[in-house]
Amino acid sequence: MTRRGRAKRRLFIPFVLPALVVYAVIVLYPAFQAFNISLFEWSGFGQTSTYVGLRNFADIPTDPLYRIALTNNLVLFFVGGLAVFAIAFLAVAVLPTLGRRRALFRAVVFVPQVVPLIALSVLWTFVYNNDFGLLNAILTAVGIKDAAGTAWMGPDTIEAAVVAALVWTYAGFYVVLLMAAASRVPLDLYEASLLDGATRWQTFRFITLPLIWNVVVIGLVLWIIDAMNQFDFVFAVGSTTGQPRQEIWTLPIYIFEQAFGERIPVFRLGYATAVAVTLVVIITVMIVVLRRALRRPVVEY
Amino acid sequence: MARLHPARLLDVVSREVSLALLVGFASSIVLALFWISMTAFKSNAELFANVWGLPGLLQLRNFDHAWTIGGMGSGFLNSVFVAGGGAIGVVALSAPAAYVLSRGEFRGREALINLFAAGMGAPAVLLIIPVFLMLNQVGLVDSPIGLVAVYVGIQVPFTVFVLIGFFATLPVELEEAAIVDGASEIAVFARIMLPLARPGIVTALAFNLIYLWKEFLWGLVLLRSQGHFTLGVALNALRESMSFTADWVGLFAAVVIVMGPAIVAYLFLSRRMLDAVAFGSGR
Repeated sequence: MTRRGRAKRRLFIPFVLPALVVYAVIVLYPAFQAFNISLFEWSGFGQTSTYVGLRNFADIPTDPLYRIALTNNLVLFFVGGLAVFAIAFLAVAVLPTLGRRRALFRAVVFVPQVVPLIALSVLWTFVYNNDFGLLNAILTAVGIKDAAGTAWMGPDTIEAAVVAALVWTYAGFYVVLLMAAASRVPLDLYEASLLDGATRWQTFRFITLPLIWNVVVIGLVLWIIDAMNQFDFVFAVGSTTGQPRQEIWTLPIYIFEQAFGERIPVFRLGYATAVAVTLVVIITVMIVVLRRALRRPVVEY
Repeated sequence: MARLHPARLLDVVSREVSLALLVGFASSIVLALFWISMTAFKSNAELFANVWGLPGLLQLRNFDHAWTIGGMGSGFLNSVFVAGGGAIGVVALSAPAAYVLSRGEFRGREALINLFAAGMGAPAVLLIIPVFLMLNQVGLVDSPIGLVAVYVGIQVPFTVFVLIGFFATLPVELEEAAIVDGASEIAVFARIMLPLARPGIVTALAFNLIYLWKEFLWGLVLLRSQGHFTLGVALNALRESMSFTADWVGLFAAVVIVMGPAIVAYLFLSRRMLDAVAFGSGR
């Protein structure tokens, strides 16, 4: 080891250790603690807990609320993901012709990323309101009278309404991510392809997509995390009470409601933590499977 | 005029349609922001008479109500404290760590970097119960200080990661020259590397500030008394009161108070933030 290496090692204690300790106390230790808590039946803070082994996990498959919540997470991931990436791919496909307005477009579509989701859920609750909501006002204005009285936050349409609103909210991030990757592809590749008579779709499919594939995979991993951890928006949208609407619960909402829920406190801390553990496992499996399935040789340019 | 091949014609048409869709998407965002701001200045009667109508008299009263009765005033101060404290704290803690991890030749460096990276995947819902218990034991539930501690801890992985990327781009020769001239390692870091890494530090600060300003779940779990609520939690409480106050314009004034500062900050920092996303580090 060089002299410089040794000097850096001396810096380890004052420079790295403080960050490591705080991270260990707030994240690492509680994460391990969670796996332990999931093995107990525990009916509230301050109550004694009983070791039940894997029984909390055994209860999960027959839990109807768990099924609703997981289904909603997966609907958001698949259906919402299709829409989010369709928008991002569309932006990438027409990108080379957008010229200088590209920068403005990028800056505008990113705005929802900096707005707290709880604020956006207030907006969308109003958009979907059946009496005086913006969506029905627009439908009336363009003459689609049949749909204009729809109660979008009714049980039949609320999940679709939530997914649509979340697509609107998140798409901008993925647009910026993929546009940035595509803008690193040399312009003459597009021009050569278009000159050779390829359509824009062919250029996208055979030139752009292979060259930005790595970033697409990163984007999909981030989307898994966004979709499976969704809490804030669903917690507040379409309700004016402390209880989120059950039809749209996601697993994070279910965990919160089991442990801290205000209206119907159940205080099942062990079970809630077991659900959280399954969420971590599901997210990890999704990421591993996705990366395997989408692995392609990197194209050099 | 040259005849277009059918496939090319379709291409041109689909390009126009795509452009229209994308422009419509971007316009809807601008429209939404405009509509929220406009509604915040209307009276409730005006809002329900015509949701699209412009405000007559500007109802500054809405903001006054939201700020005082609605609890957004104390929420604002609390958010400035926890988001500001959290962002400054985590960057101050992470910058030295990232510097050593980007440079050090010591054993276990890779393993440490991976250990930090692993934390980026830990969902908040896995941690809320154990962390609540831990803070409860030391009397830091319902405490802004406790929330700052949590914010610093959960943001360490992301911040260390972003800053390692920045320090790695700085030339090693500078440090070596300074060491040869007799400067201490700590002086090299404080006087040479830190100033050079300023763009990275500012980017990390900006992302943490905006992320923590948006943060809702931890605030909801940890804060109990209204005087401690952050803006998001206060807005949520105000939203829940709509079923008996029905003061929607006041709620939209509160929404403006919550999103206004983030959007103003974004106007100043957008180029840097968008480039960071392009870099693959905007999370």
